[in-house]
Amino acid sequence: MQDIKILDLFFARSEEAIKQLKEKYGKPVLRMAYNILYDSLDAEECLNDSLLAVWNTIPPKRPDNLGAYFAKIARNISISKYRKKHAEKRNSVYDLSLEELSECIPSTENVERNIELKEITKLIEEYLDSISKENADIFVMRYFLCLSLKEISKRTGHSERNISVKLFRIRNSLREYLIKREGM
Amino acid sequence: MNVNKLSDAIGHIDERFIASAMNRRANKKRRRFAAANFLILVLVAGFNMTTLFRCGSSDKKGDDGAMILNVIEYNGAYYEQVDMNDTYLLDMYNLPYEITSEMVGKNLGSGKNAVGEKYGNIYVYAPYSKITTKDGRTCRSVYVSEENGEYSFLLFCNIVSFDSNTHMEFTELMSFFGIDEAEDIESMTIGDEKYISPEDISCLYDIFTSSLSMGSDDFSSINDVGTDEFAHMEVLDMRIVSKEGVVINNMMYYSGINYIRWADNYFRLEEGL
Repeated sequence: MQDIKILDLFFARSEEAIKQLKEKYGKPVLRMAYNILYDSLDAEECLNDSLLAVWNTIPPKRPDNLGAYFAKIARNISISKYRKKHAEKRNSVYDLSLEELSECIPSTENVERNIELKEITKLIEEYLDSISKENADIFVMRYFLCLSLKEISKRTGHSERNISVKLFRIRNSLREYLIKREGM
Repeated sequence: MNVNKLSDAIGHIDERFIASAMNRRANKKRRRFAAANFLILVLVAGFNMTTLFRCGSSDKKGDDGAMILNVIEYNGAYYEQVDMNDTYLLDMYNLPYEITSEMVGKNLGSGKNAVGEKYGNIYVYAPYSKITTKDGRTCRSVYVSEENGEYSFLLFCNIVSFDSNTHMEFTELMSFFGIDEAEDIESMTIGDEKYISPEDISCLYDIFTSSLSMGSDDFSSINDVGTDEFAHMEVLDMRIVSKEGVVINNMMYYSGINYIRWADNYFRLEEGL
């Protein structure tokens, strides 16, 4: 079913909307939640919480990209849950992605800036606009959707090794970009 | 800034980036190799490859599950009809997911389907109606098709071939997209490299426009490239976006032999990219 029709169902307060949203985007969102939490039950719970959150926000919201909107909500819910539950174990794809992302953070020997979240988001968006669409997709697959190298490889047709090299270059260029743009 | 803050910031990026990544299809390159392979086979068999390829592909799914689109002939060119659920493709072409009435311009009559039957109604895509080249030719890269009350986009993919050696100059093809000089271009992407500076774009544009254009027969006779070699050759996807937002995606660079293949035309470059 087209997004626009699913949105109409939400606006009509039809529970069919939840069913259609889950059918269309449930699988990738559940995969993302699982890769963050590494627990099937927790991931399933996050999926259901996210469906409820979408139900509670549409209307009044009418997102341009329903799937992306759903994924955004699910990611935030999953990460909140992860932080609450986070104990000693660090083994999820999200843990790995965090470790990798730490390479993008410029050295704190420079001027320490209490940069706002919105400002960082804007810089990341500008950076993604400045690189090729494929590299931007790979970045989002890894660091937003928390996909494994194998999953990204399947989606892009590149080898896992190739994806790993591409991500390495992307991280380095993001780091350079952040230093250049904000002197962070 | 710490890593959690960076991760949180990524969690708030614009939804268009997320939609693009979520909709990316698998094995796109392999699909293109297969298509190139098939084209060569058809050439060898001595058929009109464009028509055959289009007839054989209409309304079917490829090996990777990707929908191969219907093709309409209109005004001397072939246009691919877009599945409006294919948000990945629509994003690739900077097109909206829904065609509203104000986007539908002047009625241009009907097209022909792969077997030469009258097909649907074709309309100007209103947002592109004011994009023209200096000699007054309107952008012809995107039209709107209407069939049984359903609207969909038609994307330019090829010129109608009179024989297997029909070809067009690079600048002529560019005019389909309303581009007639480097200054009309916002960005050029070759493989992983995206060029946005006017100097880079101007330099690349000069290389492209001074290339030697040829059809399939000439290309095959000069290069003596066999089916297997062609299918396994390194290929880089190219993407050009005009300042008006019009997108060219169906262009490929064969770095090993220094050719660009675009809409069944082959362009031999004077220097490597």
